[in-house]
Amino acid sequence: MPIVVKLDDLLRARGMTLTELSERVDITLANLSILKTGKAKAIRFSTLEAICQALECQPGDLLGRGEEQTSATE
Amino acid sequence: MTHSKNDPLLLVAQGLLVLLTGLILFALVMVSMGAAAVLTVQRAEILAKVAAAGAPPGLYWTLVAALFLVVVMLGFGLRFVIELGRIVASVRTGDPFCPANADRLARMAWLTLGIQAGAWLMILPALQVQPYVDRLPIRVDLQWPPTGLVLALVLFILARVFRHGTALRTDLEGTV
Repeated sequence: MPIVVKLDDLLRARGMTLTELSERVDITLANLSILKTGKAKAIRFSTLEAICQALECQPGDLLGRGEEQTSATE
Repeated sequence: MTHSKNDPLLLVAQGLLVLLTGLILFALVMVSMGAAAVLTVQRAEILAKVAAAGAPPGLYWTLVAALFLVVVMLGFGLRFVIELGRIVASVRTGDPFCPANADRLARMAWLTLGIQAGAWLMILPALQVQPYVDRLPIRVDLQWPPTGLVLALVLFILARVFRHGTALRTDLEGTV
């Protein structure tokens, strides 16, 4: 099952742009964009922690399995 | 990476490789011209010298084969230097861990083996010429240098290292 990054949903829910997040977590916009579009092959714990801290969420809120998301939408 | 571009070691290496390419090309042209001359205009003269030295006429063809071998070895050497130049150029651009460099290193290892084999093959004509060496305008220097084998081994291992490094880099590229 593919891992789905729900960064877009979280950003929308918090009314935050990718650029703002990039400034807060000190990760380049390019890397965040790779993560958002699901092109990332791996994520560092430090990146995960920084994003979760900035978005005030848990790692599970940010990541999910493709199948889970499909069943959740259903 | 600007650091790699201004690295004095890489600059010196590139300069030396250009010089070496020029030298090998020059040697390649000269030996090829010599071989062509031996086969055409100087043929009669060399055959006469071989006969005067009391050597069998087949020695002429031994000399031709030796010259041909030198041309092939110089060709291998030229290709080796070109491959090395490309690797140095890729280090300068800051992108050395690519599959092409692993292939280049493997090719360089095979070329080194080829040159080493050529050097050992040269012993055959040298042994044939040796009894007449004081009566012919030829100098024979018999050597069994094993350094080429060690270099080939190092290059084969480096090619493996580069392949592994390339795979690691590919993994890292998608990591955020």
